[in-house]
Amino acid sequence: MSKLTNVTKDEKKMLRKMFWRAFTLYTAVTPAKQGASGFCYSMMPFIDHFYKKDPEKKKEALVRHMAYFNTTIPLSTFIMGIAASMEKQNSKNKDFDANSINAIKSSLMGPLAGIGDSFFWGVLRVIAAGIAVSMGSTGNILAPIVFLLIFNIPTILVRYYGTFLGYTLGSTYIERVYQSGLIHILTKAAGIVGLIMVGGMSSQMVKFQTKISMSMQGASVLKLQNMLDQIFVGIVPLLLTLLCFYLLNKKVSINYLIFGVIGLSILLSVLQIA
Amino acid sequence: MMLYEAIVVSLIVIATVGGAELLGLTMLNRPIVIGPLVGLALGDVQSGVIIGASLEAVFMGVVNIGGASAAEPGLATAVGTAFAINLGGGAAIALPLAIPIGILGLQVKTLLYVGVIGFFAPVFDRLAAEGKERAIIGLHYGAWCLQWGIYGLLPFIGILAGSSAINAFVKAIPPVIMNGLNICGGLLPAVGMAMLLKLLWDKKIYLFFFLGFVLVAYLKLPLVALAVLGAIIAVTIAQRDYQISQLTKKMENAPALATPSGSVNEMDSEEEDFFQ
Amino acid sequence: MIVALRVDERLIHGQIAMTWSKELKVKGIVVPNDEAAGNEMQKMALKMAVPSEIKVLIKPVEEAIKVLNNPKAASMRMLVIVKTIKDALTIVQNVPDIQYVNIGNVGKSVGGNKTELSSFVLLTDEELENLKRLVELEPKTALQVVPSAEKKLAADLLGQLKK
Repeated sequence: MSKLTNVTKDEKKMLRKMFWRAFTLYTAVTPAKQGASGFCYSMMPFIDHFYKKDPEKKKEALVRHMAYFNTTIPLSTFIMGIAASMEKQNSKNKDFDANSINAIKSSLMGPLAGIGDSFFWGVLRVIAAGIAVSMGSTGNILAPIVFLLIFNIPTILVRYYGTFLGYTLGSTYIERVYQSGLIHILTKAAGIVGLIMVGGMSSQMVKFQTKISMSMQGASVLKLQNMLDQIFVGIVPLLLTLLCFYLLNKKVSINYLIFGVIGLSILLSVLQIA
Repeated sequence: MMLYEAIVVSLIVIATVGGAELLGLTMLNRPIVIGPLVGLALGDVQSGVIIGASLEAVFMGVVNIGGASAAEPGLATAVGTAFAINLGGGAAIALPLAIPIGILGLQVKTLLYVGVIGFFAPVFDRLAAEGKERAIIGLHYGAWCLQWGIYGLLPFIGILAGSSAINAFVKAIPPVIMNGLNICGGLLPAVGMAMLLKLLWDKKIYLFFFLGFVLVAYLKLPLVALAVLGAIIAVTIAQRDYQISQLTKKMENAPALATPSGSVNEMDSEEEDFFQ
Repeated sequence: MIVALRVDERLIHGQIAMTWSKELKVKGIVVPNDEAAGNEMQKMALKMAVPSEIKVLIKPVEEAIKVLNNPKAASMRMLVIVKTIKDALTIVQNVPDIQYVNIGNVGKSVGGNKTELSSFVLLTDEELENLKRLVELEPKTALQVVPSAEKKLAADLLGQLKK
């Protein structure tokens, strides 16, 4: 963090405060304004500091940050950092257009949510849960701890450094990252890890064994499961997963799918197939 | 005894499902965390972990993006696990109980979100305009207490009132259905995986799904190894992509040797690129 | 070919990048928006949100209309996202053959007196008038947040308001 040299001690302190407060972004989430109160709460250290002597401007700033805000939480501190650096300029410079602060906020929150949702929900959580589930299914009580650590260590680091990056580098940083094409490369790479994990999990977690067997003249037994395994190990789980995926794409509702699978399982049991 | 259970389970629900809102996206509200916690409270961590893991596999695809969701896995796991441990039934019991509870939980959560907390939005606005910081902070946390205090009543009432009924119901399940539920525990993760696939599927990289499947099906690779392997593949590909993008950028910056002139229609370069 | 015209005040975000673009199998997203087109940073941010194989074009409304009427546009599956119902109306008046007019998230970021059409759609009086005119031109205009959500015809909801 060599860029932090021009951040004063006070500012560092406020940034840390903001980082902690940002955890509560959605604490009082409302349909109309989503994380507005959390955003405003997180910005308060800066608002108090920059507008100490001007109660009217302080009220304006509070109202400004009580506006609709919605993004993936780990990336929210980055936007808060940018907003804080803009509040600093606004407090110093009379010609600064305060409306641009909310304009930047709202233009960033959508795209960052798009990237953040797919990375944090789609990849990081999937890796963490995959590993934890395979540990937990054998009764290993470390599973939940491993799960929380794998997910939260990177997430909290992103939150922490995001706060500082947003404040010091601000919007120019986004421009650079975008122009280098890095974002698309990283999204693709993350998607690859995610897909490999989902593939592995489908094989490990979707389980099916058929009981059907044919006895030939008493002694030799032909088990259907062995025959299936010779075609392709895990062929039933694979096909079932792909079938569900196909049905989801055909807009079959998830709840129907779940009850369909329950029905299917009971049917398999009644017919003595499995 | 029942009262103790009801209180403990609802405290766990408040701490995890509510805690996840208080500490934003920390994944406290996932089955793999709640199952073991409920197990710990009821004196059977081992079963809690196993049930938590199997519910996580089912609910893994339940994500909350842009407010679109299917069930609330937290309440589902807490109550499902509590009943399963009480009845000694394991994941096969937890699963059919958890799913309807999860759907109900989501309904109540949405109701609270729209019908209770929703009314605070204008109050927040007014407080901000009046510059009352302390009141904003108070309401910020107060709204949380209110919302999750109410939500916590759900498992409390559910366990107190439902125990004997559910006990009788579970005992009445014939073995053939019980076996079906066991099979179901194995098959249901397919739905979760399908939902994840929907999130990640991309024409350029979908083959990696099959790579992961084969590596585990045939080589029995543990998922930790698979994650490391996946990361290595991804980094290698990212490096190549980066080189290629740098190269193309150089080519684009180099003076164009023979560009077929596209000046026939009046498109600017941005537009031209869009239709390529 | 314009597979959908969506009104969404957040323009491109998670719901668009993750669900709509996949559901509709679009090759390109056009964002007719005067403000965004003039702001390089916002343009970057919007483009960044979308998977790399989908092209994004951000243009002022009038220029975007020209692009949408370009003969080349007919062979490309496109999603058009505007910020307000007013912009949607302008597009519908000037561009033929829009397969689906979708109202997503509207009105949460603007102040003033608003009518609640659904929890995602809050309309000022002016936007309400615009919606009425839009429905006259495109009777199938519907409210739908994500593809898996229920489609509600705007005409029906407007009809209920009058009662």
